[in-house]
Amino acid sequence: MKTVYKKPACLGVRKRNSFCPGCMHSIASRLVAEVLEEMDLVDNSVMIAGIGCGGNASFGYIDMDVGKAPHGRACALASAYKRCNPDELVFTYQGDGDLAAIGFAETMHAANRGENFSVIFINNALYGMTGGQLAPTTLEGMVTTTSPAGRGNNGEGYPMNVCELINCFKAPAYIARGTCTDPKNVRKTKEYIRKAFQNQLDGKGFSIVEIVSACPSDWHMSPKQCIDFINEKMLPEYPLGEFRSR
Amino acid sequence: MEKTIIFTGIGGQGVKLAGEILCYAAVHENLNTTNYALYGREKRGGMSDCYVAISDETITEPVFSLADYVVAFTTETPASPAGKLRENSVLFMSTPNDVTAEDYNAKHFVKFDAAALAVEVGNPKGENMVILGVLVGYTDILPADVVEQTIFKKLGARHPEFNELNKKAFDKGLEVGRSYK
Amino acid sequence: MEKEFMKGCEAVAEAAVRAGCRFFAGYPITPQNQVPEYLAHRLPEVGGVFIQGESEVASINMVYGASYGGTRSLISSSSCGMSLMSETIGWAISAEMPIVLFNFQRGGPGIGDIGPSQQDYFQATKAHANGGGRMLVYSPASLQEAVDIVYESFEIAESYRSPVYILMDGITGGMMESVELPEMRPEDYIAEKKAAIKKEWGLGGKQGRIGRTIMGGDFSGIPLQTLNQKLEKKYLKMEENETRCELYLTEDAEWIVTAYGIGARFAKAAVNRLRADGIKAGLVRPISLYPFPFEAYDALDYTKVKGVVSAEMSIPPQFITDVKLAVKERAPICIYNTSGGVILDSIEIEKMVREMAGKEA
Repeated sequence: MKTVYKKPACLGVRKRNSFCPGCMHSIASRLVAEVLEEMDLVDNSVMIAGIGCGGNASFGYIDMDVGKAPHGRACALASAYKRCNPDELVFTYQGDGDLAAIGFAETMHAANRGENFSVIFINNALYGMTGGQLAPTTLEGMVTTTSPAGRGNNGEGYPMNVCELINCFKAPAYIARGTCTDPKNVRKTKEYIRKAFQNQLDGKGFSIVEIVSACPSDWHMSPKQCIDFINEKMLPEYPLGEFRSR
Repeated sequence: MEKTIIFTGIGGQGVKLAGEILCYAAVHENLNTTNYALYGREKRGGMSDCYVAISDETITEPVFSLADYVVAFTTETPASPAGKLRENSVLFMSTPNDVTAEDYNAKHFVKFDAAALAVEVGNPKGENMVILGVLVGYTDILPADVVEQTIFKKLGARHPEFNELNKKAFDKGLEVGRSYK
Repeated sequence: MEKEFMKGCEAVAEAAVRAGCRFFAGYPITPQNQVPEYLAHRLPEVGGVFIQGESEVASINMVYGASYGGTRSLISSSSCGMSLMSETIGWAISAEMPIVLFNFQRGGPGIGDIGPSQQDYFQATKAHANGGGRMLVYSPASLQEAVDIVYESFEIAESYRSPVYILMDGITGGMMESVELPEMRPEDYIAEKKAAIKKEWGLGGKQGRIGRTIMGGDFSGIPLQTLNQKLEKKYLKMEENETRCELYLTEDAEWIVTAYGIGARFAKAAVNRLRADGIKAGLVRPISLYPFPFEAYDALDYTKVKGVVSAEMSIPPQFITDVKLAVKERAPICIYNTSGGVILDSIEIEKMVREMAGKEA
């Protein structure tokens, strides 16, 4: 019998994942595991994991070496780690609060220096683990526990478009935004991740893949409703595609 | 025998450099030496003090409130050099102003106008070299030729064209210093 | 080896390179700018990495990240810069990362001023970060001692798997003094050390074994109480084995002057002058501030000691807290302290001892 589909061997060995049902982190981290395995990189890769649900992936779901970063600082750790260990594949795995709020400076400066590592960035428009607070990526009018009147009605400003911001710098090699709402987009996102890792192996410099994701628990929606919300509300604000590919 | 020196002036006058040259000359003579420069926030124009100790024994204090020799680059220092003098200290005062030993309660007072002397020898930027010359000429704290060689080594490395001018300024200072003995 | 007349910042930076430091990140702050300026050209010469971080926060996290892979890593800053690094210093203690930290103290609290001070004693010895973690803290009094401690600190950091904190000040960083620099550790040795860390506990790709997660705290799967019990054992081992103290003319001393770091130089000058005048003074100079050398104070002969002068460049005084714990009311203590870039004056220390002696007589 021919095997057409199997779970990556490095997934769920040490621990089962601890994501809520319907959370797209589980798809995103699985895609990372698949790409690592297909590129035969599992044994030679280091993940620098952020804080929050994004960092959950570090709890051993993917069986690989993981260095945990203080909140927001993953890109600083990864910059140094990669420069001192240029033969290893290094990537950060961060959520939107981690990467775009508390870690904004570290992210932008690593991108601007063109550090040769990859960033997997999960954008679910709020802080998941702490209970659904306002994030830099929260949509206009979106109600969170700390923007009860809807974003923008109490001085919260507007959604922050991370890929577009990074696209202003000269140094980055690869900038792409995908999502995991359907098999087509899942496959595309996987290709983005593969390109980001390949760019690093080729020494091209900073690569970031943003994945527009859902948080059913804090959005208070069913997984199906989440997918509709992404298609109808998130994607107009966060258009998909490759912004830059060198 | 330990000798302590405080150079005091205003940032930009070459206070720190004068102190460093003296230290490098001391190192050349196999003496122990320390140097610490204390300055204000301004890169130029603020207070600038440089503490130098030279000894054939271990130096305990790198900074001291009173010194054997106090070398003032101007009368306009934020703190009066009078407060840095011991009973037998020598105060070297470079100024065009009409000040006297009594103004500073100084028992030994060597007054000269380094800026004017520097202009006189054709090296208007060599004020600190004149001052260094006066100190060495008066005290013989280190052999004059060693200090001169140190000036060539430290300043002439990048700008050998200034060696002759710096020598003129330093020699002029030596002459003035010796005349006060 | 021949002595070199060097500036403090450059001497300790060179000592770090010779000890095998191959990564540095830092952010400009007076009075330690000569450390990054020196390492910016020196580290690439030896195949090391220098990054100017976008902030102190980023810099300490870079150093922390580099240490995950076994690279000997150094951070340098001053007072308010150290405050910014506090969170990650806590992580480094908890995750047991052997990084080396320099603090060239300036004024405080807040921005303070750029003058030399000893205003960070509590921060350096009692509360680096939240959570009450400890690390070894040394405070050298001369450039030679600073160079020697820096050289050794990378080894000590790895042997304890703990950060090592070297508490200096604006004078130590800015002054020039002759030093004998240690031998450059061979590249093979540095590479072996890095490989050993990668094998034993560091990151480097799992290479066939089970993957590792490095982080301090509960989330790594070890119950936090177990982790903290393990760390406490390490602190106790440090307290047992790593105290360092200089005792100078204390055997027959009636008057003890105690001070640390650069401050002790002024204390020693006062002691020398008092001795020359027939007054039996001695100096107790803690070199390790954590662990504090309490036993050095216990070893004093309190049947002879009539008084103690504790000197430090901090208002309010901080070092005095440990001195009081150490002296245990066995002798009266006077405090001499300065702040705001006002450097301790040996004349004042001498005067204070004379006054105490006068009262005694």
